[in-house]
Amino acid sequence: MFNIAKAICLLLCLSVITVHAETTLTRGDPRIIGGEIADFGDWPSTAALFVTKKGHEEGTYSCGGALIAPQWVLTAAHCVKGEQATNMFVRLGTTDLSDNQAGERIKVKKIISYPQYNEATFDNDLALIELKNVSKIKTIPLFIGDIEEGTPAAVVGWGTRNVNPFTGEGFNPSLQLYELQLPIVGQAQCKLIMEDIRNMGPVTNNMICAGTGLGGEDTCQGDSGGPLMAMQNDEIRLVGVISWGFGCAKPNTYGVYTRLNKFSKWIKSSMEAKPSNDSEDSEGGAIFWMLFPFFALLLAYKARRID
Amino acid sequence: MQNMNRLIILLSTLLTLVSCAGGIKSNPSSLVDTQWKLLSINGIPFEGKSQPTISFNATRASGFAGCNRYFSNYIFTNQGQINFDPIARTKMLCHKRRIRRLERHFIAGLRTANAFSIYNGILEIKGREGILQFEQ
Repeated sequence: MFNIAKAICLLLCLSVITVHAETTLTRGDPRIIGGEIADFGDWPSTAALFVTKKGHEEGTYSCGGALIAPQWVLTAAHCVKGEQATNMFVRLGTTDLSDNQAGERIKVKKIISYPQYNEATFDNDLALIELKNVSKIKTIPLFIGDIEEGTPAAVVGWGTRNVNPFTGEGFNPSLQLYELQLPIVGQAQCKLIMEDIRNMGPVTNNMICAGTGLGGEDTCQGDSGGPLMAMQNDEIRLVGVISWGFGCAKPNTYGVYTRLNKFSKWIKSSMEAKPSNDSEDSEGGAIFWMLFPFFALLLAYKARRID
Repeated sequence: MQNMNRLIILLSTLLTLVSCAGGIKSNPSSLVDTQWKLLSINGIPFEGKSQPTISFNATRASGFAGCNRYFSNYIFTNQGQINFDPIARTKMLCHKRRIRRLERHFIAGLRTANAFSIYNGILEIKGREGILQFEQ
């Protein structure tokens, strides 16, 4: 009888400790939900996507991205859904978004979302952004092949740094780039936690998970589209794109990312496709040829008067 | 003649019952393969461009929360009872405070929902955090 009472006491104590641990890990941790301010130059290829109102120069930050070629930024498809290229620009080469003059600011020429992006399941959550001008910033190569479970990876972003402990929702976005190290999670483990235990998903083979599962460290609102990176052949490479999650930094969940090695062919072929015509140039050209006869007549008339 | 009157009364009663039942729907199949747009949250009509939506297939609800997209595997616990928890979301930044608040209330409304009904083409999802009304 005494043993049963002891066991009940022990169980109660353990549950109190667990609940306390969960709340202290998630309550108002004042960082990208873990992590620290990134040093300038550590993650040079990180891009910040801005959306402008029509006719306005200033924009609002919406998502992250990664410069994978001098004129191409990779991001999440949900970040550009419904957006027009003419209403977007990208900032590169800065960690501090409060300084409007820092780094490069390049307009967007074209948006190419992955054709099979599924907005009901977040499967194939990937988009390419073609820039109007070439960036001078260092690009990041793609990770080749499958990454091993447990490999240390890094995520960076300007996303929210605090979480509401009751809703799991992020607030208070950052103007400084934050970085965070997280281990890559095996697909079976991620499916077990996210699908079987959390009743979420599916976590498809086009997705990859990262996190400790302990809570307190994660990406959050504002980090979408940003890079998940890891070392390969002594250089930092792009493994995934920040996509979705269940709240932010909750225990027993992982962050879910677009698994880029499943899309390397599409990325390559999209970038190698015939360059698109610059829409403004095309419009300008059309207007010139429409007005050409008028100018020709005007010139001929003036020439006759001079004679 | 008396039998005829009885038959008419019986038929009209049946007709009334059938039509009433057709007015309010709360069986699971009435939601499957439907799409809805948010009309109001707790009686406050939605105004603006970022209109939240919800779509249902046999097991999953998904849509737009005002800024981010979401999905949830929903379950029917009983006739007219529904549960959406947990809800997965993308991680875009919602700059406007009004949109952030809208998304927060919308997601909270779904997360704590426990009942639904469809009446006169209006889907109502009710729970601890209030009532979400949708139209098609």
